[in-house]
Amino acid sequence: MTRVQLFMMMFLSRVFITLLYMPTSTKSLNGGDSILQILIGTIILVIVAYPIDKYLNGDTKESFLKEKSRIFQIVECVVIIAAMLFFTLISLTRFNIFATTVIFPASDLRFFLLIIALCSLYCVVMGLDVLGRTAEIFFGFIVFSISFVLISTVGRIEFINFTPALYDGIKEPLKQGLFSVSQTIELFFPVFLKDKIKGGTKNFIYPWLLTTMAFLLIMVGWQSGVLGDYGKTQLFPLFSLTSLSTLGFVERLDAFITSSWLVCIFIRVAIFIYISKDCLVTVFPKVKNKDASLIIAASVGLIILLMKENYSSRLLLEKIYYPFAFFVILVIILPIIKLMRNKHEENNINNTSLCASNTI
Amino acid sequence: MKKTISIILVFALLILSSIYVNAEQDIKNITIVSGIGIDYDKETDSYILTVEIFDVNESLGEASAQGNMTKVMQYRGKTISSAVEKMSIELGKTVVYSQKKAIILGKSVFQKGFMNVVDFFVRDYKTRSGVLVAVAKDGTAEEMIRIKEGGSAFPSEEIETLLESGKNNGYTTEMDMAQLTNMYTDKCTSEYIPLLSKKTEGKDEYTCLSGFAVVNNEKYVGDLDLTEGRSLLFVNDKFESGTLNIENEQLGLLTFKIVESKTDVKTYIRNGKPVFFVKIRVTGDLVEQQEAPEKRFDKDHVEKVTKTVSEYIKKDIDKTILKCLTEYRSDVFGFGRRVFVIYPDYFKAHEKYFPGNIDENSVKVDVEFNLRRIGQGNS
Repeated sequence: MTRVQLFMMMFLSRVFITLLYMPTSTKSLNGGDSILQILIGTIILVIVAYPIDKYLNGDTKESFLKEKSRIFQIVECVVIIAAMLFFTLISLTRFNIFATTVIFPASDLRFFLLIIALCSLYCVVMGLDVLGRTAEIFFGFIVFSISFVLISTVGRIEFINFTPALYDGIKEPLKQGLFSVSQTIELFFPVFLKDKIKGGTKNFIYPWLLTTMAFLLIMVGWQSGVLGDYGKTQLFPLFSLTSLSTLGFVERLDAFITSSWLVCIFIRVAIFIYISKDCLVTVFPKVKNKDASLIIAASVGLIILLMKENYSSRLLLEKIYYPFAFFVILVIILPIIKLMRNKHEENNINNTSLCASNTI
Repeated sequence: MKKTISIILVFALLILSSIYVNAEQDIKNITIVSGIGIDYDKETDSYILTVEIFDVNESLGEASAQGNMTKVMQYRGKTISSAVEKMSIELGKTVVYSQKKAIILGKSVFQKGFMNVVDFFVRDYKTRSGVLVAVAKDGTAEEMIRIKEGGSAFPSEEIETLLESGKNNGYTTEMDMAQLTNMYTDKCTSEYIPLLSKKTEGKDEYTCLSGFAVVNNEKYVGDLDLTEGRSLLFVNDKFESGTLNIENEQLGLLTFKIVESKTDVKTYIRNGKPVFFVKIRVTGDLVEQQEAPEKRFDKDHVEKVTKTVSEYIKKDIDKTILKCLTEYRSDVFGFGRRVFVIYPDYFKAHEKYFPGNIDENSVKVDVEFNLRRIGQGNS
């Protein structure tokens, strides 16, 4: 996978969360606060991404999972697998609510989700390059379809829909900003895949972060300008925005446009399976890559079959603690540990070579 | 090879998502609702749902090869959803109402509160944000739905076209569920909804536009006629095009085609009160001139014409603003919203005074008319 393909894959994965963003059941943000929460999230992510940037700019070519301590390695892998399965669960739950609300109301889509998981598994088995190329092919399609929605609704933007930020205080935008941060687990992808990326990962994370967040800002700002307070009444405000898009006499393009969103969930699930598979192989070195992928996909399938659709599954998506805890471990703690380890090893090498030169 | 297979797989997913339908939604088993009228019966405390339906099976018959292809049915329920459920039970088929063209509300529904009706359509899976909403001016929504539109195949489609045409003639504008809900959820703006009335020509009946219904705090408060509706559109920067007829002693009978209108509202807080400066720039072409004493369009005459037209438009707008703000105590212009957006601290301190408490004297309107062309004639 090239760095450009990684960029696109991470972009599609993150955009999925915003496309299917659901306002909280207790308090919906007004237009100004919706924009502010993205800005808050961006600022936090820029700070948080610093150790990742340092790690990615480092010269080490070692696998992320390579550790001297076997126990630490196993614990690390178990935590990563748990995190990936958790994010798979919330991604599928989010998609399930979306699909059963607006695409096929009142239908049981578990079979459909299983097909998505199978496709993701196939992609993972084929390798990272196939996943990268798939992301590359659909990146343009998704960006074009979203841009089309934005352009076709430009006439509906009204200045008075941009309500003032912080009217109801900072608490909610801050909370939502943190929620937005907790969902940006994509920051972990380049850290994990560093040794597999063609072209390296130097100067990668900030351009990705700023481009993606700018795109999300435009999407959310547009939604606020077009829908105004109506957006607050909708479960999926960005879908409501899509349903207003028309192309001359051609109406109801939302069915076609939203079908392209499927690609995002497919790519997101595929990368989660891929990372989990690598961790499983590290814990059980005798297990083959293909078998490990099957085991992880089977676990995802089990999650899908056990998924029970009720209102509490929506409330689960609003909970910030679990994703935030995984985010902190994967995106902050682990990169810092690896960074320190690399630094320590570099120092050891320098000291050894210094000793050697003194001896000479 | 891998690339091809992965592309095929993903496309298969896309296609699956688009064509997947429940077996029960077989075309023979569905009834398509093309228009909905809602009235409220106070005596029985129930909603009356009048629907125009298109039954595929019945419409394939020879009898309906020409003329109206729909039929009108009526259902009652304590709530909108219970009436919809009754419809489904009685028809014995899957009711598809995501294709509906318009929702017409009888004025009676405002007796129980407007949001009680809207809530169903906001939550409903099958209602699209872009569905148009209108109010029946005289009589009931049922009467509007029963109008055959001169034997049109799909009367609701005619209503939809009529509502959409409002923005072309400059007297009304289309109001969809998204806009309406946006206005309703905004705590400082009153709602305006296009009005429909019945017109009879011989044996044929048609619907026609009649201005706007003004709704404040869920209750219907009054109507705006077509001219007032046009003034409302000017202030709200929603006027797209239309004609303007002016009768003046000095200038005769003039007709202009308005090709552009831009409105700029400046909001200030002066002496502790909000003031609004509404600047409207209108551009138009002269399309007809009758009984005009002065035929030549020299500089003085053009100045006289532009001044007259500006004053004419301003007079109408002032009258409409006065009517809405004083008689109806309704802010359909979004003045309060502007205070909220631009002066949130002031708004917070005076929140209880909005909507409906904008002083009509605090709105200053200035209209500037630009005569673009005088047609093919040279005088």
